[in-house]
Amino acid sequence: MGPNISALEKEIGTDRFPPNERYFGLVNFGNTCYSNSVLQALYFCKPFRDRVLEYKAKNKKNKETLLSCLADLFHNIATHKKKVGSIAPKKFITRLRKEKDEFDNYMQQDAHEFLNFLINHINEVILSERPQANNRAKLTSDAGGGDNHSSSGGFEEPTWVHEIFQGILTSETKCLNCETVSSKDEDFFDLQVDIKQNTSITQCLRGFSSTETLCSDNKFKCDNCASYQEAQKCMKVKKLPMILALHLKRFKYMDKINRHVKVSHRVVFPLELRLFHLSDDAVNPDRMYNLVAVVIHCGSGPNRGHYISIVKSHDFWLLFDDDVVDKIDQSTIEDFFGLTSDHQKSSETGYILFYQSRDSSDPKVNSNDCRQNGK
Amino acid sequence: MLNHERVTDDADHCEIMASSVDGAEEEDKLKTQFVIRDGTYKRMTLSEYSRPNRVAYTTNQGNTAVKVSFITLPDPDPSGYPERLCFNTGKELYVFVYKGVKKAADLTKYVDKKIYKGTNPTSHDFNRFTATLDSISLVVGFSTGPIQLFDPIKREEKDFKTFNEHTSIDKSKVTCVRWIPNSKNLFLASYASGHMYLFNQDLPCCISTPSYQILQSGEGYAVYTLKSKSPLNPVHRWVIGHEGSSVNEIAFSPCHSYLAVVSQDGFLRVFNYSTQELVGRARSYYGGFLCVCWSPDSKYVVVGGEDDLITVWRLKDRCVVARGDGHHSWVSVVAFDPFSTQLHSDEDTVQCYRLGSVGQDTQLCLWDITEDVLTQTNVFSVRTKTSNNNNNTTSLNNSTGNGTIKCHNNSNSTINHKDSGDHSTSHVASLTQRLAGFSFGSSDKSKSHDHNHHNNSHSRSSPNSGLSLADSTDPMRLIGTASCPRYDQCPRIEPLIRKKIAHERLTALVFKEDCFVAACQDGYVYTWARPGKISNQNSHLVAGTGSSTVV
Amino acid sequence: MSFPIPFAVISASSDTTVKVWNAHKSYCMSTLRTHKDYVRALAYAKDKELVASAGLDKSIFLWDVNTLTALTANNNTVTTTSLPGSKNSIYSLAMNPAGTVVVSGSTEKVLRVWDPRTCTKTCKLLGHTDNVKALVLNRDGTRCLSGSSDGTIKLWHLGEQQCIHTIHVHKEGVWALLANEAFTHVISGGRDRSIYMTEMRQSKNFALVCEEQASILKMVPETDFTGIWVATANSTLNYWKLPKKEDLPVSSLGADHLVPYSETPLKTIKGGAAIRKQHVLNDKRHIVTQDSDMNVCVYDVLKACKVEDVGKVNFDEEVKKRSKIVYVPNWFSVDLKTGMLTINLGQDEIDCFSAWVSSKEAGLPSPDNVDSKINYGSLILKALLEHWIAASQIQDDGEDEGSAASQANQTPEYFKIPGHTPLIISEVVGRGLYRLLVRDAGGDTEHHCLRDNLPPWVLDIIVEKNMPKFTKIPFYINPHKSSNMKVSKTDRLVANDFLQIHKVAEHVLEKILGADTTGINTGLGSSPNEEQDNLPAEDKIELVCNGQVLDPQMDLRTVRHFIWKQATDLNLEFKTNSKRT
Repeated sequence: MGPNISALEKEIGTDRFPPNERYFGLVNFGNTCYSNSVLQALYFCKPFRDRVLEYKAKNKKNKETLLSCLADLFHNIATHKKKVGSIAPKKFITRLRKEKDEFDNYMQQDAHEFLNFLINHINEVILSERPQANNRAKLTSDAGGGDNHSSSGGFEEPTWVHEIFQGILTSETKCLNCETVSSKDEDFFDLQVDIKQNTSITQCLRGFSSTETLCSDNKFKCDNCASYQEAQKCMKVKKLPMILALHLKRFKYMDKINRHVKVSHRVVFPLELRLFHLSDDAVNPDRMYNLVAVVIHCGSGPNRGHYISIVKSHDFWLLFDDDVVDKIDQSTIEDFFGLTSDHQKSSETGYILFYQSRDSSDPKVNSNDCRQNGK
Repeated sequence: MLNHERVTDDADHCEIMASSVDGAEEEDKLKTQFVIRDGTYKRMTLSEYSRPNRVAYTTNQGNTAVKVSFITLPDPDPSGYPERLCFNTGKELYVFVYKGVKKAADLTKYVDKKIYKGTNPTSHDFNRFTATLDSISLVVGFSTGPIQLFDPIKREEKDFKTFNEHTSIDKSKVTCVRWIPNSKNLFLASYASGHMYLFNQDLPCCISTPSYQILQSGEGYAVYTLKSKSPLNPVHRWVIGHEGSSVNEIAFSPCHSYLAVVSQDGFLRVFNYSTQELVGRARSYYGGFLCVCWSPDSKYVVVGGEDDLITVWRLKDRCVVARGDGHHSWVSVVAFDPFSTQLHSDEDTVQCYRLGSVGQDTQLCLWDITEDVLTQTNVFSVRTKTSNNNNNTTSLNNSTGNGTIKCHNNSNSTINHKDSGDHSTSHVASLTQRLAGFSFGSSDKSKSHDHNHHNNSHSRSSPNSGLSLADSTDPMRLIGTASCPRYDQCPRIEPLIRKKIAHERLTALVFKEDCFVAACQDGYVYTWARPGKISNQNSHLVAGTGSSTVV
Repeated sequence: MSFPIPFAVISASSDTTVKVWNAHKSYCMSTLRTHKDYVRALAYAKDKELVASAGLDKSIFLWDVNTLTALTANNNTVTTTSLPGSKNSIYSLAMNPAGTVVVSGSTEKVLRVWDPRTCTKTCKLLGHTDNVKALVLNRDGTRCLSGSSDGTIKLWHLGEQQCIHTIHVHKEGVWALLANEAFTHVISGGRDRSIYMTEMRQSKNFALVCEEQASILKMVPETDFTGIWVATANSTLNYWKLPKKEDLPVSSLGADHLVPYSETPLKTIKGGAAIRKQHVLNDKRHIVTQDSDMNVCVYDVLKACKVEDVGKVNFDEEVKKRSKIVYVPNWFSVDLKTGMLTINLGQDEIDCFSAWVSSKEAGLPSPDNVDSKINYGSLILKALLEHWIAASQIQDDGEDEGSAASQANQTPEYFKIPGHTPLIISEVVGRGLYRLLVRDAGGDTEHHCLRDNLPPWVLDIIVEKNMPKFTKIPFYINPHKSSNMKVSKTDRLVANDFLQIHKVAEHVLEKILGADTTGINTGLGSSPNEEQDNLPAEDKIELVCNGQVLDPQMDLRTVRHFIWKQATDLNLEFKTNSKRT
């Protein structure tokens, strides 16, 4: 070790520092913590990081995309000479501002909106770079009108973004007369969760899949009964993603004052998670998740606030606050659950939770995956 | 897209903060009484204990849970108040004369009060064995690791003892201290490090970092003795689970033979205390187990955890027999109510255990665990979509041999009547389950040794599982076994009632003959009178109509 | 659903009514309309002659049977008391013979118990994890059996407010329960089509009584409990033998699956096949159906009867075979709730007067005008109320000498409808107000009731003898780009939706081109050939839509539906008939 061992390295312990790991903060360019915090969380979602680095290794294209900028950034961190430090993600932010008008300013943005945009955008980039997609684009332009081609319909091979983040929700409607269940699937990349005071994330997720009763004037037309009957409708998870991203809806729009306010309700989240209320034909019902990262919102409202993130690396936790990185005690996580009363103005609350499946590194279990996920 | 307007700050801000964001629903209102089949339970607002000068509560105050301990002194005077209550709040510890439902609490007159610096008391226990009218022994553990022992009645310097004062034994937080039953001088202390230490109050502590030698070990635990020339503390050290997996609570069975330990690694481990052998274990659905208690007859252990559930485990066959789904957040305390429990069924009534639980959702749940829930035999099988290998006949033939139906399964098949493609039911009542429903008593189950060892990642189990499985701390291997049934594999019960009884998370629950006591993180200890315990003498102690909310 | 007493039968229905019937004389004595949603359950206390009804409107009403059976047209008030407090839709109800206990089961999963003598709540029983659809009480109301959609049967001790025992014998919801008088054995059936008999306190003593063809809805025992009548989702009733209590358990344990006690029923009452599928053909007049025996038939709505028995063929293929390219707007809706075709005529989402069809197409004789149009809705109403109209005319005849004039206004004869066809008038779909058979419409009481209950839009057509309005379609006509014709203005035109293309061609010739003949090369040739002038318009002008040349016999609405297919206004283009060159 060189003479200038950083405080962080000392805290972790030079002998306990994971050999191939790097801990780099990200410089803030003026309210870019919404991006920094999410990028750190994603970097420490190993399956995602590995894929991005793989992309960098395989794609030598000249054309710059947001994905290539992200890949460059991750690559710079992962191959840095130093073990700890900070990096300025200038190229990435510049590219981001070009890709999305709304981010093209120095205002604070919503971290979840950024995550949502990033995941979808990366997916689109991957799809557009596929060889078949290029051919098809050529053909349709020659045909002159006719059918519109969808970029990610059911016929497209899933991308690694799908493999990592995509889950399936199924809306089940059960006729209360004949008890036949009909269901309709829909995809998701993350789950938006309404929150209540003094609850757990599990309870909030239950609210997400709570039962709606179709009754009175709003009965369900049951084909089996050939008549209108009462029915119970609920959403259940049919396929659990490898990385489950849970967005706590902490910003609510209040009609009375015509703006969003922050809801700091105390919502506890465990380090280990398994979902209840899966559909009967759920693909991987026993899936167990471990918490790997949390994007935390600090402040009193959506416009004035700051984002930080905490991540799990090997068996310890780190806190990334833009360019500053600290090791924290696991028990510190409790500080980010939220507040039980509204008296305090500002709070530091868990905002986006990243749970990674325990078996994500086991290639046998992941049926979608035909490549080995390097550990 | 977020609103970019520069809105005026504070005035609007305060207005928002004052009003509740989600409208106050019936469920969200605080209750001061409720009705169940026993009758009406009412909170006695004048029988509330707390620190004398009440301060406003802020969420991250100290973070050490408010715990309560009780002791009943051998008082010959029938009109006396023999009970003593101890509770910790923040940096303080109080001992009061507990007057229960009989008289209002006088917060100015405490038996003892301690204020600590740089550390918070986290757990405490009175020694029942040595208690007299004039002297009681109280052991207190702290958030920084030390343990203190003193007599709050006598309050003499000479009785004051400190253990692990310089944290050479353990640097983590004390999570639970318990006197060994019927012992004058031995107590057990569990720590956030995942270690438990047996202390003898009459021995001095080891000064330098202790070294140990192994005494006994087993699946996921080990017991050590201190390597030392002369007898020093700690007498024993237990290491439970992996490094850093906090032991959250420990409890001795009423019969004194067993010790139940729950940890942050999601395991309940039950030991035969004298032989230090692991008798059985259970695994949470997910997350850590936070609390544990024994049924009055020492037959069942109930745990509560971060999966928001209460889990009932039977000692005899080491099986999880039921789960209770009622809380909206982590379950902090579970406690049996021996006074409302019917241990034996007769002509008219059934065996019914009454249980209470409180959680971080600020709610109290009461549960009735009846005979029909407990006598249901469960088959732990893999949830499959189609039954390919019909090894049905094999397992049944095995079972008719000695007249028992066992809790086991064959490779990946389920003996399944389910029509392929019929997904309309979530109850896979396989033939085995149905037949098992009338199996000839459960007493023979422990004799079944028909293990199927398969090298796949699916479950396998027998009632004695846990001791013979390889890689058995992996929750993925345990799911679907007796230690951790799938959610629909074991009976799910709902609470009799679920009521919000405090503004902050609840941290203690104790059942007494004429009342139950609950404590809240904001430092209040509440007394709830049982039905029929309010008379002319004490009705003034109940909340007046103005402040109470009837259910 | 019914509960028999000496001669009266009381039934509850999804039409929200409770009816009291005289079983011997097969007529409805009275109809109770207190419920506001489907009535799902009835319970009877024999000793008190008390009936309770409950349903999806969360209410429970108590009725005195003697009062109900004494109702007449003049003495038609009945008071009822209700049991308050239900918070969910009620699916099951039980009352003991003494009328001292009432239990209800609902989607709340918790059973609620009342004392009907005082209409007060007694207690709640917790334990089930899903809807409760079957309940039985013992004689003195101290024990209750419940069957739930969670697949379990629970035995309750009402005094202790606890579940004494849970029976896990079914794989799916339990929908029907019976218990013997001694309350020692329970017979259960449900969605999994199996009927079991189980000893309550020793559930290992059980027997699989039988396996039915469809889900079990209700069972009724023979008085000595030697057998049970079973109603299922099929229309056949079976009578099955029950094993003796002493013989339980029955069924070999070692087998792969249980062998039922009986393979076939002792007796059977075969029900009629129910129509399970229907498809309204494009002519909006014929309906292809398939019933539970897989027979395919064709019905004619205008004649209100079946017109063809096709046999056991493939339903979808048959529909395809009979589909024509013709577009008639929807003018009725169909439902199969009763297993028979119910045709609903109304003025809400579907306007029953929207189907104007040429009488030729309808196959009706047209008196003078080849092109006369008839309105299906108007036609069928006249047919349905034929007897009523006839009776009214006899009454009105004295006043009206202008019957000849009114006859002149009459549209061609309608199709006669079978007299046994039931006609139901409702305010809200599903809640009938008045019901009668078509052939009885002329009777005295019926006559007046109809006058009071028929909706104004019916009276408008039948009594006032007004014509329903025509449906108009807007469209544009422009010269086809291949022709050199130019016109001055292209207005948005409007015409009746049944207007045929050859008429449009006429319009083009007369109004569009005829107006612009001066100085413009119409491309028709300048020779004022008489022969040519006498040619029909469609031979001179072709109309094109979406690149397709239109058949002159096709009407505008068909063109819009099948060829234009867009939401924007119809666009037609005209050009010279290519045949001419």
